[in-house]
Amino acid sequence: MLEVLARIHHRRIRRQLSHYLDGMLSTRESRRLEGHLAQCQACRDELAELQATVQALTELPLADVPRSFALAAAPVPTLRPAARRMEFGLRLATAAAAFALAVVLVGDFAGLPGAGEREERSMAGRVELYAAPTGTEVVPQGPTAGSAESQADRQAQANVEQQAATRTPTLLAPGIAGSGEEATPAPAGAYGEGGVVTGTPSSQPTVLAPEPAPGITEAATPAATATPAEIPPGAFGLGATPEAAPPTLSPETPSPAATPPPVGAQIAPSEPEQQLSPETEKQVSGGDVERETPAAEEGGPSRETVVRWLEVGLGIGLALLLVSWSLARRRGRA
Amino acid sequence: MLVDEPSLIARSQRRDLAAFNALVECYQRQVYNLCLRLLASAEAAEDATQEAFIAAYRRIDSFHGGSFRAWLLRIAANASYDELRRQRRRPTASLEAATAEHGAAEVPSAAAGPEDEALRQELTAHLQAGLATLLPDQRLAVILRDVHGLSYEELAETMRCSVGTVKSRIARGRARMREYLMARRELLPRPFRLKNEE
Repeated sequence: MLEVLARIHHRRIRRQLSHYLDGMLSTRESRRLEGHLAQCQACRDELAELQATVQALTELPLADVPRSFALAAAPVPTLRPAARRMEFGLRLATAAAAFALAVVLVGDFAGLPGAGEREERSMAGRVELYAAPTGTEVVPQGPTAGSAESQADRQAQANVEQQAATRTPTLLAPGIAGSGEEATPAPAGAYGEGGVVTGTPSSQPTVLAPEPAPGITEAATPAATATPAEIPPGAFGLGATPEAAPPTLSPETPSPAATPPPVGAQIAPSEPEQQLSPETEKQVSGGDVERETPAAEEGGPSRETVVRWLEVGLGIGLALLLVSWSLARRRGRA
Repeated sequence: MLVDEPSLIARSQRRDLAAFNALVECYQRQVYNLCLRLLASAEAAEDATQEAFIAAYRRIDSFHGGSFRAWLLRIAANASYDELRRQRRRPTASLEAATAEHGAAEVPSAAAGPEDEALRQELTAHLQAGLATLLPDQRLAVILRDVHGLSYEELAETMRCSVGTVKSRIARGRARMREYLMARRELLPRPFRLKNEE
């Protein structure tokens, strides 16, 4: 323990040797150092060596000047101040460009709110747009507007979807009825309702003709209310029906059988509009407004592209500024 | 310091070239020797000294009292660093290389005998080489303190730092110089060898 303390003391004394030589220690410190020197040969040696070093440096002779450095004439103010001002300006511009680039890069990589989320939302809207009953134009807008946050909105959206789903069979009915007379019901059920109707038409093909709407409505409604994800098959089926139906149709009536479903699909927008609750109407109008935004974004350059170009532009600008600054600096010093 | 230094400075600030040249005559040896120790080349030191005095004349308005010598030596040190930077841009320029090439800026002395003169020059060469191994701040502190005899306060003014920092730089610089010289003690004159022999 004492040895450790002695070693620490020794180290501190060694650091003070230089100041001791210059008389920069207080009387107390000097006395303590001299007390240590009396006991420590290593420190005495070091002090002597340090003293010899300082003495050698002090005795270094000053060289005579090779000539007089008196100024023959007052130095003419050169263009240096202007060059310096230019260099300063360039330095400032370089710093500003570097800062701007850093801000853009940080904003880009940190993912500031806006671009990513909005894009995600519009993508989600588009997915629902394709997934929701495509025959109608109104129904898809529900989900788009429905992505506007609140639970109430989601319920309203579910309502719209439910209404659309319940209506689907009524729209489908003429199609099926139209085609069902000449075509076999099984293909219609297979294409038209897919998994939603779950084989009802194929097991009871004769029942489908008299009561197609109630049967499908009951099957479709729970599916629509359970999860919106289950709507697509039915909805897609509706869209697929006109295309899928013709092969099953008899050759004599191709156009009348094919046309009804599209007609029904075209009618659909007007029907839901009349039956929509005030809340859903709001959704629809809101949906219209929101729907324009992604369209506008698709028209012009996206935010990501703008940021990329900004980064590239700033990077090139910064590089150019750096080069010109270093050139100006060199010229200023030369 | 000149007796009428303040008035010479005041006249120089009014762009009196004769007054400024009187200051040049007074301090040129110190300025030149500082440049010589920092650059280890007589030619480069000459350039740096001239640059330092030109810069001093241009900037004399910025001198607002204190030690004129410290102010002037600061300008000289900066001129030397500028010269060093210029040398580094050229292929054959480093302080060590310059030391080796120019024999450590030897200073002839007419008073000493041939043997003593040879020993002195050898010691000077070792000191110069040792100084070249120090960090720039430590080198400047050691030269200004031990070669030019500036006070710690003047050093703090010249180096624009606290007296505590000056103390630290001097202590470290000297410690490194001691290690450098002790590693070559057999080549050094008597004071160094005697310590070893005792």
